[in-house]
Amino acid sequence: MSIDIWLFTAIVFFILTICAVLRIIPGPTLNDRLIAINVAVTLACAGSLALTVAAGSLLIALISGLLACIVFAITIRCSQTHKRSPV
Amino acid sequence: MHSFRYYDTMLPDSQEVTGMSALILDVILYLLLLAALGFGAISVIGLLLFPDIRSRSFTGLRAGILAITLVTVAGMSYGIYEWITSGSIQYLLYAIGSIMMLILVLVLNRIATDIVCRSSVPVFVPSSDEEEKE
Repeated sequence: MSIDIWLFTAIVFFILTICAVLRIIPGPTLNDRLIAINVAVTLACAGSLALTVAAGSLLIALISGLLACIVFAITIRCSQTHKRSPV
Repeated sequence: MHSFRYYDTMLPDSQEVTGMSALILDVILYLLLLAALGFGAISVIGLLLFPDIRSRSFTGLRAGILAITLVTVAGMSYGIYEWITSGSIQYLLYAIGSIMMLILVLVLNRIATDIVCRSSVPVFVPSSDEEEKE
């Protein structure tokens, strides 16, 4: 039995992404949550690159790249809005 | 008119190339991907353990960026090797796409982290009067 290293890498990266997503819940501030979101997106992108080879479809990398763009844009927008608002 | 075909986006089955070069590539891929997993684990552990936002963002994001860089290098090596051996253009597209995704994540991560860190901890800039007093 041989281990597909790409699939193994993708699965472990997605487990790590779930751990980072779970870190979003406790917070306590918005910035803590935004940092956790950034780490989760970075790890999910790494996992999707590995999954692209394991599944053999380039669409996975394309879709994950687009989703990462959207999430990063939302993060930047949220942090800028939070910065301007009075505490 | 050229129509989009589903199999244009599918990576063809890799050729069973045996020999020293394939073995060396396998060893390099295993090492790169295991190192990437290690850095990914460090990233999450740093995110969960460290108390303040700057140390958390520094550890979490730097280790995460190292992890995605190692996966990209592994994917690039694999894609270029398969492109040379099998001649399928999809592998070259994968290598280029992985580099583009790395650049995208690097740039957007940097911008987002800078804004988050600046908004969470205001940076103290000494005025010119205070500098003169010192």
